[in-house]
Amino acid sequence: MLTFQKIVILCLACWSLATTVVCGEFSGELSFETRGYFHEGAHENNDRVDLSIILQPEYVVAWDEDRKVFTFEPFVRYSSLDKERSHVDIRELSFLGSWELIELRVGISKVFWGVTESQHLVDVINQTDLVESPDGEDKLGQPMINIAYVNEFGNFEIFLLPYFRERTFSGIDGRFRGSPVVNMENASYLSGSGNNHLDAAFRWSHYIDELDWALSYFEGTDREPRLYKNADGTALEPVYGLARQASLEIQYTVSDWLLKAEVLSKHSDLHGNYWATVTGFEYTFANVHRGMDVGFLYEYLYDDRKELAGSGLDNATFLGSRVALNDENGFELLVGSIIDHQTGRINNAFLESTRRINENWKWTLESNFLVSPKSGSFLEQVKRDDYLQASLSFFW
Amino acid sequence: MKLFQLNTILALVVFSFSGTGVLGQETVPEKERGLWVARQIDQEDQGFVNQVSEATMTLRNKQGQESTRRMTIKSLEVDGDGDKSLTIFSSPRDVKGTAFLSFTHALEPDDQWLFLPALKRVKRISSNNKSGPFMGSEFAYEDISSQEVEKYSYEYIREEAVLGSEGHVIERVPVDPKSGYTKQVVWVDGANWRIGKIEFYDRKGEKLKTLTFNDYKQYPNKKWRSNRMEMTNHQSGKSTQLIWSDIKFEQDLTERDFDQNALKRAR
Repeated sequence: MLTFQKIVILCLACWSLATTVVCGEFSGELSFETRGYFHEGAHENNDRVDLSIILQPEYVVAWDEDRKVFTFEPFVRYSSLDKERSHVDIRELSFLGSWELIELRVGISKVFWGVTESQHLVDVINQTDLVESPDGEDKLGQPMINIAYVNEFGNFEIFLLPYFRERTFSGIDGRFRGSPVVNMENASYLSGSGNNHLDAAFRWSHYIDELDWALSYFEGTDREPRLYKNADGTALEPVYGLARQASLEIQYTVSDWLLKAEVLSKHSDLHGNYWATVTGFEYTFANVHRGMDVGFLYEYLYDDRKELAGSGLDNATFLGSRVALNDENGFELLVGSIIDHQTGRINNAFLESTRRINENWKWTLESNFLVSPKSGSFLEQVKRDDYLQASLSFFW
Repeated sequence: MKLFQLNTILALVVFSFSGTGVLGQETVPEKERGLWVARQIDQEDQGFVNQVSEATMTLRNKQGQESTRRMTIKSLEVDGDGDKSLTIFSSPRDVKGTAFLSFTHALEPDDQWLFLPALKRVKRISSNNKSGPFMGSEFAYEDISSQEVEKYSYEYIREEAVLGSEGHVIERVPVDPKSGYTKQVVWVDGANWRIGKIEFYDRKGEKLKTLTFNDYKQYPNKKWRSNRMEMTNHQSGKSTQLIWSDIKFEQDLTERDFDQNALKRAR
């Protein structure tokens, strides 16, 4: 039986062999993060302050004009609030090699698919590390073999994913959870092979002039579990089924416009058959004053499961604005909100801002307000979890 | 590059008629002398095949405070089109691993992709923002992108000594209305066709910046490169020094080292 530990040990062995031959580069990031919640939680998760330390070192060995790269990137978070949010992961422990028409990636790695900003609908290879951030942008390292064939008709990729990573969920004291709490220990699978089901994906990506696109197909363990109450009703237990999905991403980049669409058609054991899309644009007023860029983002989110989608994003509009000063400190600000079409109200609104202090230090501010989430959606269960977060990061 | 073939044909035609064997300065009509200078610069740079170098930018504000950016820049000469380039940032440390891929075209918009290491995301970006600052420096994107002859119209101003030899002063007007400049005045040395200085005029027609090219060095493949460029902004009082080091030509690089896969591998 393949376990995550075995995969890690195997990869580490290969990696240490390689690093004895060539000398690598050690870099990384250490962050101190303070998150303050404006209210006590709705599920007796009443603590309002979460102090975290996050360490993410990276060791890279590259040779042959960067055509061969070994990367080791562990990740550790200690959270004062939630012991489930305190966790360790291996984000990357992989070999990436390039030959004339072939690219090969073996090991634990991360792969991003998609073009839109408000939701990463088609991004399916890696599991979401949900305790990291409610936006779902953080991902767990995924064991994989990824082979790409590159020619004048684009990139043709195959992914073999031999081991499944389970989604992380907040613990009893944590925020961004419903009630009762999710017990990750009791996850179960519909497939007889459990977390050792061999998942696979195929992807074709290409571009012509201003048009970039990708067509993908995935078949395997559904990244999105269904949560069922246990027998005595004290906890939710994740159940993972199998799913097949086809997806399309497309971006047309013309003058100051980025026109984007992601479309997903999914057949899932546990979530039924449905299709969903995120379609929109980003327009940038470039260099409006002293190098400052001001961008506007619009995206329409649709999921034909309607309320059953549970996300509260089944028929909604995302509006956002991005300001980049392009100054020596790289100041950036992103504000956004998601407006539900059915209720006509703002689901949530968020802010992210960052500025460099010097060569090695940087601060980041982040805030998320659950203004009036749609009733029955997951967001409604966490509507008391508005927060403001400040972090100071050291990069070396 | 398109121009290479054009120049070759032109040179052959001139050769067969004039019999001098060289496209001499005397044969160039006054009206086309500016363009002729631009072509000499371009032709002088033909055949570099590819180039890998380390660049260090030092940004200095009015108060004299400094900050640094370090990057590796790889570029590839492409037959019949503009150059391809891959820029990998190593400093400031928070942008380490960020990489920028650009396919330059003479008149069509450039194709550009950005690799964001935190999300492992490759993002196609608009190349429309030519006039914006590159990494907060006094260099605009259009100042550091590949200089194709077709991107400007030219006018000859006067002869003047440049970098210690007889030279030329020409004026070039960007064809693209999105350019941040109304014109650039370029000082060129007539012996080796090296640029000594460029003055940039903003959209209001006022002098905005001056770029000087210093410490020229000739490499084994006969190509000249300035190892220290100084850009001064006359309006803001800020300046940026760009130091080149470790310049290598004719490395083992192919088109595959300049695609989106290479962007993901960039370190």
